[in-house]
Amino acid sequence: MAVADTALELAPSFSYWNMVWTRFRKHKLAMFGTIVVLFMILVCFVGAPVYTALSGIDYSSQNLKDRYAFPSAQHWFGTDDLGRDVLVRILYGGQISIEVGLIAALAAIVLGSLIGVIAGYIGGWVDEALMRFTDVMMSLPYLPLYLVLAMAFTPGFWTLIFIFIAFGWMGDARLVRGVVLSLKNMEFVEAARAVGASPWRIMGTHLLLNSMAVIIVSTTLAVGGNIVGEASLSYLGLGIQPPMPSWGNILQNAAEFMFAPRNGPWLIFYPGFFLFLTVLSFNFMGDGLRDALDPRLKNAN
Amino acid sequence: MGTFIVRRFLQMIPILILISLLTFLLMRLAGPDPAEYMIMLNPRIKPADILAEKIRLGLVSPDGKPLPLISQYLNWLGNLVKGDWGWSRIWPNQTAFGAIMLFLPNSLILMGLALLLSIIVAVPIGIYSALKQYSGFDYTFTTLSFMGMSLPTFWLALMSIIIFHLIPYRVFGFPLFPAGDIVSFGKPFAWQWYDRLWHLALPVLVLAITHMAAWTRYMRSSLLEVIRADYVRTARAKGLPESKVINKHALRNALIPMVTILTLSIPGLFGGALITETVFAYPGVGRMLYQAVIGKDYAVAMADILFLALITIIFNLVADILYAVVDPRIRVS
Repeated sequence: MAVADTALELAPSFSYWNMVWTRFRKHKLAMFGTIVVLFMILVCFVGAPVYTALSGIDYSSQNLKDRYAFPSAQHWFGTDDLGRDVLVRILYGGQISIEVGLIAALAAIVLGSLIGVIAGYIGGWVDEALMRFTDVMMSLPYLPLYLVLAMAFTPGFWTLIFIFIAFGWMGDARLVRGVVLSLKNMEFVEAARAVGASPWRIMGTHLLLNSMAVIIVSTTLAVGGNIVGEASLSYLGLGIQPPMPSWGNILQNAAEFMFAPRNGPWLIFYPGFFLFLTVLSFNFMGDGLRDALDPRLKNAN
Repeated sequence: MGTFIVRRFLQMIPILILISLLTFLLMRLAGPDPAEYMIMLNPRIKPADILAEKIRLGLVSPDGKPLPLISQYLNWLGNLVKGDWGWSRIWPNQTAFGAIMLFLPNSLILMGLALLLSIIVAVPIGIYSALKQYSGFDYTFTTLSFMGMSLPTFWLALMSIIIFHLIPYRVFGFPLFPAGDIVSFGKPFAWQWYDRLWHLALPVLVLAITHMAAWTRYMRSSLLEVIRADYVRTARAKGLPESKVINKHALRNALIPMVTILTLSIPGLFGGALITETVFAYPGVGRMLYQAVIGKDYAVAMADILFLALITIIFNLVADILYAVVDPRIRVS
């Protein structure tokens, strides 16, 4: 009895999420990424509206007397070809970029997990059909199709999200199917079936919850990918349309005037740096989460 | 093996049909039909000629009634099979096929050099990182490759133009590297090999950097996996010198997945080249597709997308075959 008590004292009960947090905290780059992401969300979604409320300057406020201004105390990152404050535009653009990234990643993971769990659990011809479809979708040349899709529908916020969902779920479906295949013959699933749980309950609570590690990591990494995708399409003029700023179309605008005599290189550096830093941070977070949620995945790439 | 290849070839057909149907419908949804666009380009074309062109393209029936989309698609596919890929709208006097052939060599040069450069850099770094796991070198390059994977291609391209073209131009009065195009038009040394290389330097560098990052990681993790294998321990245990253990036993097996990854990434190179080519105004198939889509040049856009889809599928197939060839343990069924 006394021995058992000591053992309990020596090993205080850690919940799974407790351990995840302990491991995550040790991952320096992931912590850096988390802080940067939180900072970006704060300055873009809170800082920008507050600044607009105080100064009356928003992303479309022009000042043609003050075009191509050098970075100064008043305009930290200078002004662009229409005398718009670049920092304010970057912050408002960040709202759009982060929103597209998050919404599309979440929706794609929902769709992908659904397909993956159904394919993996039901198996048979359903699995065969769904996986063949996934293979076909994966073999499509996605960037050319992005272009055509963005042209066929009016380019904009929801079109972008639709495109990233349509081409973003396949990897998730495969990952979740893989996890489900490895879990579905385990005792706890058998037990659930034995007590009469419906297939939907088994899929929804038992299998999906146990795929959470894979799902969370994949979503985090997808956010970064979507943000780059949004920026690339907006840069090509097929994404977010002006005057609504996004990191992509701010860069497109800056690149258009790149060789203008008074144009400064910072007009291209700053928006891209925000973009790069945000994407990098989401990727660091994803890497840290992979190590923290499931240490076995560490070198699985 | 023979039947495997034949079967995979047959499986390609439905995928290609699906892609062509998808793109055809999307392109038709995007606006008026290709014949209507011809009159916008050249007002001297008579309505009767447009009607004749529409009949030739299979958009309307011979008595002038519009056909349903699906028969339009079948007519287009029929023409394609017969070798009639249609005329380009923005490249005068070019068929869609001719336009691809015009730009393809440029793309192949760009991608070939980028591929070569990124392999030459990425493979040794990946190997060294894996051999010295958790060393300063490993940490530095793992972090750097992470950064490289997060770099937006077009920003990297723009920054390289700023650093190697704009700033030297403003400071010294001449650029270190050109910001675009393939040769210095109107100069006596235009089209010389060094002029072409000079113009290729920045696009190749940008394209190579974006792929280097991922390949360094793959090479590293592939070798790490092999180094822990039992047969490597056996090789060490029987007293082989370390160089032999690595070169003969570990490295050869670690390169097997790399062959597949490299093959699979070639279609992706074409895709990534679209952005690089557009930023550097480099006349390759990627920028051609972008111009065709923007300029509603249906024939060229469709042909280009099908071409890219074909490349994607073919390289998927080649990867499968190569995998079986380099690794006899894999049995293709």
